[in-house]
Amino acid sequence: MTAIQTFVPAAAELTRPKRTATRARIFSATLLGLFLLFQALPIYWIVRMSLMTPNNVLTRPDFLPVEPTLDNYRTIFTDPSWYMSYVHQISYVALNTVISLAVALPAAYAFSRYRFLGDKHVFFWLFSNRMAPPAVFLLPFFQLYSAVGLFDTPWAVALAHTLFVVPLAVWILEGFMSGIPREIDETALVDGFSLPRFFVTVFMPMIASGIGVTAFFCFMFSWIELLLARTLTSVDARPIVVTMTRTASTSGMDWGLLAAAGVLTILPGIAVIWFVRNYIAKGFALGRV
Amino acid sequence: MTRKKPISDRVADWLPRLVMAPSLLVILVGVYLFIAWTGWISVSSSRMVPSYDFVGLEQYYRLWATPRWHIAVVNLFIFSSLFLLVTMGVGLVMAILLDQNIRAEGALRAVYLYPMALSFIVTGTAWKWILNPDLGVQKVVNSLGWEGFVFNWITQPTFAIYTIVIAAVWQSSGFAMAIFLAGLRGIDNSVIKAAQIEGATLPRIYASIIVPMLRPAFLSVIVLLSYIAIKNFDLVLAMTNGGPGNATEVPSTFMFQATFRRNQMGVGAASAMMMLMTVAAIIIPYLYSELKESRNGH
Repeated sequence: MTAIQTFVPAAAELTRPKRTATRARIFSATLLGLFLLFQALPIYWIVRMSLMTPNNVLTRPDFLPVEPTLDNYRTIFTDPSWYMSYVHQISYVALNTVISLAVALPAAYAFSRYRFLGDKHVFFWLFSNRMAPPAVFLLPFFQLYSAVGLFDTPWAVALAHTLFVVPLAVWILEGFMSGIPREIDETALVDGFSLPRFFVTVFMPMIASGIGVTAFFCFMFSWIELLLARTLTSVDARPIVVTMTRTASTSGMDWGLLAAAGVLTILPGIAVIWFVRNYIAKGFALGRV
Repeated sequence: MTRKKPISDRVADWLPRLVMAPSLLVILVGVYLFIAWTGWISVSSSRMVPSYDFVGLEQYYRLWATPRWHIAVVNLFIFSSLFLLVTMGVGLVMAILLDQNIRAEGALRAVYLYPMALSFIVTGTAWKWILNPDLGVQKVVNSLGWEGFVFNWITQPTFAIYTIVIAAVWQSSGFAMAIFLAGLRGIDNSVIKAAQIEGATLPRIYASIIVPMLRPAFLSVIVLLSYIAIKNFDLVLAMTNGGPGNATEVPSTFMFQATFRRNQMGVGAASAMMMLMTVAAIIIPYLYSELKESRNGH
């Protein structure tokens, strides 16, 4: 964090002739602008499509939406197979975020505060597990859930995602916790706080931004994951990302409807990013994201 | 202080193990038991339901005798190498430019984060439209007057995989940029100043001093992007669904098809194990170098 705050725009304008510096600045601003455009255009296009009738989507290449209408959104909010998909997805994402934080917080605290045998190895080993491809876990999860009756429930997807998210959550949280001086823990314990009480009432508020960033990554992983979500649900818990692929593969393409569903999946992400945008940079600076 | 210390020492003894226990248990059971189970299925004769006999490497032979798997492996190679190269190139250049233009960062930070909030399904839908010759770029350019313009890669078996690279680069380059930017921020400015006093030009400074100093950032970007490349499933499903024909089959789609659509559970498990081994071949050297570094650090 200090590295970011004390940073002074590097070198460019220190010793070089002014004209070259200005030209370089214009050049880099143009490139950045193009990159921005490249990043923004597909998102704009989705929003544009979501506001048009199927016929107009197919025939009109205009830049602005033609005869804008909210019909696509109306369809989604009135058809249970669409809006229930949102409910399913939100419920397993929320479950996953809560479970992952509950498991990762104490583990991260242990890693940041205590030296124990092989802690460094365990730490990296934990992180390495995150890298196993989901395909390896598909079959076992599928068989296990079918056997115990969890198949096609929000819990099925939430627990499967937890396996991938907990290592990442420990990794990010540990970075934030290590930034808090150990003396604070010691003082509080001497003052007669029990460890759990200290942890919840003193320590957790101090790393609130870290918890926010971690929750964001738990949320994001679960929100956009498809392979497990698609395999472990069929009808009763089918999430929106899966509903979108089913629609795409059966009755031709209803671009407007798909785009509207897409826009609605972007909104929660935008909301969450808005809340944590100022802390994310810290996560990156710690090398933990 | 002196009287409390033994207690906190004892706490320090058992507490880490106790609080670690649930997560370690989850990982141990979840990860290793499940990998072992998949491994076992891959050496059994399972088809529609799992069976637990031992048939040796038969499923692996069948896997490697399947032409679709060969397509998937070649595609994975094309996709990963191009995806990594282009994403890192774009990410690094943008990070350097952003590092020079500090004022633009506020606006751009939001923009480079937003693609992370997008499901690959949504990205894929947008790009499928943009690349569709009858709807997207080709039609727009044609209607602007350039009638002969053709951009129909997504319908061409030889080129379709490159359209998936385009979409994946779009989604991940902001992320790569963020990691590089964090790395650049960690470099002391006095290094740059010293080099400038010596008379080095700015591009030269970046090429021979700054970029080599970004080695840790490069390592994390490579690891994270290779992981995204190997598990790539959503994007293919949304954009081409493996087509045209089998032209854009990748290992994840192959695994899903074999296991859940064509009742070849054993072959599917074998392909999953092959993916795991590929990831391990990338991750283990990385882990090793990280561990070695942290040991030197302390």
